[in-house]
Amino acid sequence: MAVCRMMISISVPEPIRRAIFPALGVLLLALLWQLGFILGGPFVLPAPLAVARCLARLARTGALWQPALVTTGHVLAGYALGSAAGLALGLAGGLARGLGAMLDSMSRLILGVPHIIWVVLALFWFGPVGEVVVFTAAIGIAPLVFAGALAGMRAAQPEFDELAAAFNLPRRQYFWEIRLPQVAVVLVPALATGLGLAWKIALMAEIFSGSTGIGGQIAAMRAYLDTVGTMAWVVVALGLLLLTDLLLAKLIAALPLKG
Amino acid sequence: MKLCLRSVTVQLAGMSILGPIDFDIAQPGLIALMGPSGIGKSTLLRVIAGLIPPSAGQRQCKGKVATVFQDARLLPWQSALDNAAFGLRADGMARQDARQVAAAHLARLGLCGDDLGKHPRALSGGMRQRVAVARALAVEPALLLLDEPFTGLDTTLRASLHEMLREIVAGQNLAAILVTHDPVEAVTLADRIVVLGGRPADIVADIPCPIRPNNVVEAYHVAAALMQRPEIARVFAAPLAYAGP
Repeated sequence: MAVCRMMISISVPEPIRRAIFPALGVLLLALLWQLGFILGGPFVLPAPLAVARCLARLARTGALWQPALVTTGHVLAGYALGSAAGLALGLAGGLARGLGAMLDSMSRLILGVPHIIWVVLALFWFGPVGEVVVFTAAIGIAPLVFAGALAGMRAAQPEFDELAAAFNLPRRQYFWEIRLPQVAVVLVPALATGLGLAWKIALMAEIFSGSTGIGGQIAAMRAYLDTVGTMAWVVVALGLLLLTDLLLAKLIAALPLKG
Repeated sequence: MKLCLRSVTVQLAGMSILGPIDFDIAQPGLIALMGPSGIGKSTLLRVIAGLIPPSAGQRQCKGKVATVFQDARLLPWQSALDNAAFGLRADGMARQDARQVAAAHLARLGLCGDDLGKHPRALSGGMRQRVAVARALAVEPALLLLDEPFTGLDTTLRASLHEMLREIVAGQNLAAILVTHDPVEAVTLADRIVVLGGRPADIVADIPCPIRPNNVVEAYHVAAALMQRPEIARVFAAPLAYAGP
């Protein structure tokens, strides 16, 4: 047994070995999906194979790409705007205590408003256009990123401030080399969570605003009671979420924040 | 190098911690600053470094001061090389030039190759202290302040760092103040021993040490004699009195 384990550890490359258990998780979910189809029938859960065929057809005909591009654009735009606003306000709030307290209470109130309410309000303000989705995603994640940035600023270690003072570190350098890396420790999980949230909010906003993106396609499939089509677009959205999540993780890993 | 403290007092949170203290440094050499725990040695060092303004009195300092903190205080998100270049970059030197100078200082302290790219968590305690010393030396200070930098290190490592410190102070014609609890360390390294005592703390002894012990046994004898001097024995025997607001 030990020899066998040793042989596996020698022969299987590290990246594959690390991917085995996550892949098993996905496989287990697919099996549960298949079980749901067997027990509930195609109206409750369509067969995974039927969804795979539908996906292949969408890809072959080219119908997949336009909605996928539209939704990805909405998500990334909303994520970038919300993150930038949340980060800027969080950093400013961390530098000025009074401003931080004021923005914190505002942020908590905004965070308390359900996302669906923002969708409804945005539909009033912008009409059924893509801006509704971008705005809703941005306003949904901005408080999250703000909270992360503010917490990071407030968690600054006074020892490093003393170090900066001992070497007369200029203010700009102090901000980039001492404060920002400490903020990043709290901010990075908020940014990672925010991306997933941006996808969920964007899809919801698209469903309600009749967008041409994935959410719009899901709304159309629902109208036709097409569970196979609905699940196919859900799988597309999940795939894109995983892809963007992976890209964000790579981006964060490349930042000089080790330690 | 010229440092001059005149009637300096420090009050923190309404409590008198230090002074009034008169203290001068006019020539190179290593000064050991001793005293019981909590007496205010680190506070005095911070006043000398300019990190705490005196509540009263005057501080005059000509020449650059650099501090080595007790906990090394390296930035965890920067490599050993960038940590050592930190002070130079604070002085406005370009990153590449600062790295080159820092690398030379690290090499002098025995750190080179892969170690330069390591982050503090991957370095041993002794290596971290060397990086902290390199960071301080890189800015070419006239006065080097060392706040118990060797605490918690094993005996062999301490001995090698003592040797290194002695070479640096003599080689660069530096003035240095070493805060230490260890009288053997003090008599082994110092050209002058200053002892803080009382509440609020004042300098109770300022002893020149022109001759250093030749070996460890002799160092222990000299240290024992030092600790038996009445003004010093009294300070270490007395419990710290509370001098409330």
